[in-house]
Amino acid sequence: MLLSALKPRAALEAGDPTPYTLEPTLESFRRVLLIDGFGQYLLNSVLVAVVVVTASTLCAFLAAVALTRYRFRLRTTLLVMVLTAQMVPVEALTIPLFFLMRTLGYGIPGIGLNQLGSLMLVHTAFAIPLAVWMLRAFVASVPRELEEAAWLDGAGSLTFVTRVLFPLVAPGVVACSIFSFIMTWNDFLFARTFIISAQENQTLPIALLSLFKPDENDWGGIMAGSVLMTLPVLVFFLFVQHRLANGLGGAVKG
Amino acid sequence: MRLTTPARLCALLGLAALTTACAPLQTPGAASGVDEPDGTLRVWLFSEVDQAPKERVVDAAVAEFEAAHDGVDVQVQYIPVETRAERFQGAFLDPGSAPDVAEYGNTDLAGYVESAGFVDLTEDLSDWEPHEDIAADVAATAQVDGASYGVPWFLGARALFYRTDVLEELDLEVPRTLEEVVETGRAVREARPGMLGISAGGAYTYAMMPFVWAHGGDIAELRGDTYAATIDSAESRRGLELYGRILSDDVCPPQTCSQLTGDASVQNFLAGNAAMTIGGNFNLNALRDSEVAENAAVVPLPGTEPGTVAPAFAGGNNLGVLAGTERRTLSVEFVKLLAGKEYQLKMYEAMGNLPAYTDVREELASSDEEIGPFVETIDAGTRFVPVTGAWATVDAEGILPGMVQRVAAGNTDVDQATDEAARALDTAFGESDARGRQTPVSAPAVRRPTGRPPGSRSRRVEPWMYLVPAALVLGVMLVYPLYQLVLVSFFDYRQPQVTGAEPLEFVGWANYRALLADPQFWEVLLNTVGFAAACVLGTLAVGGALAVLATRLTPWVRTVLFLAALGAWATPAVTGSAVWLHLFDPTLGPVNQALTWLGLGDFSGHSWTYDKWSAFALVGAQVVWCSFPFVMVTLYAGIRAIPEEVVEAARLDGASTSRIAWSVMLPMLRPAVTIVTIQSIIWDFKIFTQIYVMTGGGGIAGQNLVLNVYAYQKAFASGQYGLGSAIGVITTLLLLLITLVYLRALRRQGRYCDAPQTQERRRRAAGGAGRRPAAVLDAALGAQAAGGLGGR
Repeated sequence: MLLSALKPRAALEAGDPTPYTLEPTLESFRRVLLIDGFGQYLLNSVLVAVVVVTASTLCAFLAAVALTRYRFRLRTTLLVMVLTAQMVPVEALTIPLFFLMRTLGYGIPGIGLNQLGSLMLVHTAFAIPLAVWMLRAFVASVPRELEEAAWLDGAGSLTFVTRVLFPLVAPGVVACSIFSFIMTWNDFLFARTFIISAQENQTLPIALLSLFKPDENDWGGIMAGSVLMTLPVLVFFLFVQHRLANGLGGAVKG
Repeated sequence: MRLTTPARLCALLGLAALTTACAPLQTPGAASGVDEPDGTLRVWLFSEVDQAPKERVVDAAVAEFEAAHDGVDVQVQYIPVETRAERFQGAFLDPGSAPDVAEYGNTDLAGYVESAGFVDLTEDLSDWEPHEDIAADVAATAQVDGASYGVPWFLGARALFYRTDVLEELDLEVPRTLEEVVETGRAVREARPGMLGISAGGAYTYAMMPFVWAHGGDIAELRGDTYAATIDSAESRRGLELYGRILSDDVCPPQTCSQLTGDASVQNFLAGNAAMTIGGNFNLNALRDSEVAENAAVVPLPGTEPGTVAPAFAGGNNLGVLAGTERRTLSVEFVKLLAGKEYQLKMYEAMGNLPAYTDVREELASSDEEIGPFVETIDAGTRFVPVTGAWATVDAEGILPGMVQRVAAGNTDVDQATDEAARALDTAFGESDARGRQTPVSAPAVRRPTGRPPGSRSRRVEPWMYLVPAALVLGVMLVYPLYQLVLVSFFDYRQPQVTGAEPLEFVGWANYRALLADPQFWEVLLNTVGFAAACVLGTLAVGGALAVLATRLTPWVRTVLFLAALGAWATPAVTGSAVWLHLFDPTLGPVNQALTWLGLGDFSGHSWTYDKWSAFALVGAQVVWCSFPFVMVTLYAGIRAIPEEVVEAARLDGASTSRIAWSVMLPMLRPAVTIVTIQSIIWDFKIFTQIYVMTGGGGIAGQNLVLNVYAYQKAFASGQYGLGSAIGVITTLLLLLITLVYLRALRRQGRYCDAPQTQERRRRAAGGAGRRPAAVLDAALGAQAAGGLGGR
């Protein structure tokens, strides 16, 4: 992928079979960034991902607090519901979500179809169940005595949650943010369906697809776009790879 | 009070959901009525092969328009012709997101008008002088029931392109009948096996139709108010049989030609790979710039008898204004500019598009003899496709290309293929006309639950406060859509019902019955199950083998292997698909080049997505590539977790290596294997992106469809949202079933596994009633989280 992106366009189109080039060039990157407007799409993808990560993590953190530090009726039921939500195939929900977005768009500007807001909302929803589940373990590991101490010091429950608990579970928050980020970043289906005509609101995957032309695929450009899209994910993957192994460890020994 | 606060809240929420949402959403997508004098004007034009000249003309028009109108920004987006159906469907459903002006094919207009997608411009055009110079029959291609929905932007007619040098060298005459066209093609290929006799593809409907029309056949005829398919008539079959002979190994091999669209067919000729093709006047410029320019000539496509001309399809595109526009006046002015005489002439010079204005065309014909054959073709009489909204469905579902391709592939004979196509056509025509008007159901709008518990600080209420944000988002974005999905699947829910143009009709199980009676559904279901099974087996085999390998490698090599796997794992589905498509590109892809270079045969131009199984294999390989790392890492961790002493003890007892692997290690790995297997089943069952991207939305004639893509196409390309939802419900149920098996397996796995830590864990887990499912589910989610990333 990287090799093709660095190849001069002429060499690619001539069907030069050597898998590498001696004259690497950034021309493909320049082409997709400047001419095809990938800068804008990159920004859109980042924007959506950042909002989703913030909103979903916040919602999930609060929910995780409720589900671990309190005992109340329906608690187990809710836990199971969170899990079931995780199992629902999002692909099947595209149709109703499309109509929901359409309706919401009439009432609330900024989150209807064609708007980045629609993507943010949908992905926030789909990121929450997993985030709740991941954060639950972190929140549960904070000893109860700490809460009592804070209470004795005069902190209310909300103060405790925001000032004490949140910093303590920060590593967990980071990990689950990365998961949400990757999920949102990779999305193809919703971006394809919701962004109808607003070219300026396209995200990277769709922009990449638009480089596929009837007969003259600009493979250098496509590969350069692919590199741009894959890099952040790869970096984050390296960040969480230990967590991946750990999470799996638990699952395997289960 | 103690018990009621949460309970009452739940009851309230439930009640709110019930009372506000007992019907699928039905919102009029009515025009805003606003007419802004400035702002952004969005324009959709079709992307074409070699469109740079088109872009230049359009850019000039945009610059002129922006200079004349202060504060107006014109944004032009070029959309692919192939996926226009879903784009326009989406635009009509949500007028607020629709562009203001769009180019559209005249064959699509009837459907668009049925969807109330375009503005009636009759009055705007009545006092616009240039419009009088458009002949009545040409103007009619932009009209439905006498009302104008746009201005014809250009006309397209097709004729026979041939190579003078090739025919001369082989001492062949220019064909005078359709029969001779095919025979000449055969003669050329016999003498020059590397050349296509005539490049005319299976997906090139407008090359196929003249054959049918010339033999006296047609797609359908109007009986009363409804069209009835006549593609299975004896005349149609004769024409189709003749066209089918082109797609044979001795004229244009199906391997290469079956998939070809019009553009691609002509491209072969321009590249010097074909002796003949059926090309349009819009291809003339490309012809002039091509390497065969000196040796090419054009004549009208002959009919069945010498001296006749086969009826051509009266193609052409119009420019229209979409109903949702908030800048109606500006839009109409832009249409008048871009479809005006000046720019139509420029478009002719740039792209070879035949102007719609009679006077402009006449002027051209006198100065440019190249378009002579096309004018002659138009004069000899043109034909059109059925003027009905159903045409959009026929086109989107690829009924006619599918018919030709099945014949070409030798799967069926002409009779059976036309029978099937006729049935599919009649179904499409019938659906468009049968519009029931019973059982109107009231359609309240969505309202979001706004209930909030009182701000008491009691520990009973607090958790609910923390839960509110998540519950709100999940309720609106997950639970409610799920409910809507099920609901919609019981309704006749298509474009008119969505916009409220027609009342909703509760149809009970009709959508499900239609699905179960549709052989295509069963084929897709079989595809899905088979594809998922193959992918799962492939993933397990590759992942398992590499996991075992990893335990035997030196740490340094192992690190490299893991890094490589991590790369594949991290690659988003879209970019992964792009990379694989590049590798297997027919002409420029490294794989074909390598195979050819290795002397394994001539693979240049070999299309991997043509054959159903090779296309599935390609996508499957990509899926395995991006999901094996999960299996590998999991199993590797599992193998590593087996205590050394156990293996050591077995070895001391005299067990062989294979026996240790089979009787000692495998049972201990069972939980890990169970997890990765079922997890893989779940992902591979709902593959969407890879199929959509790599096979272009489901492959030739839908041969590579899987359930998710099928539902998407039914809903967003054909506009049958009720049917699409029914497929979605079935998919969801199947997945839930798999998940249930998954959870049971996880719960049971302790019985098979005697590892001490598991027993301890089970004992611990058994401690609290609420904890046991949680522990099981924890494991499930851990795996989901880790593996789900790559697959998406």
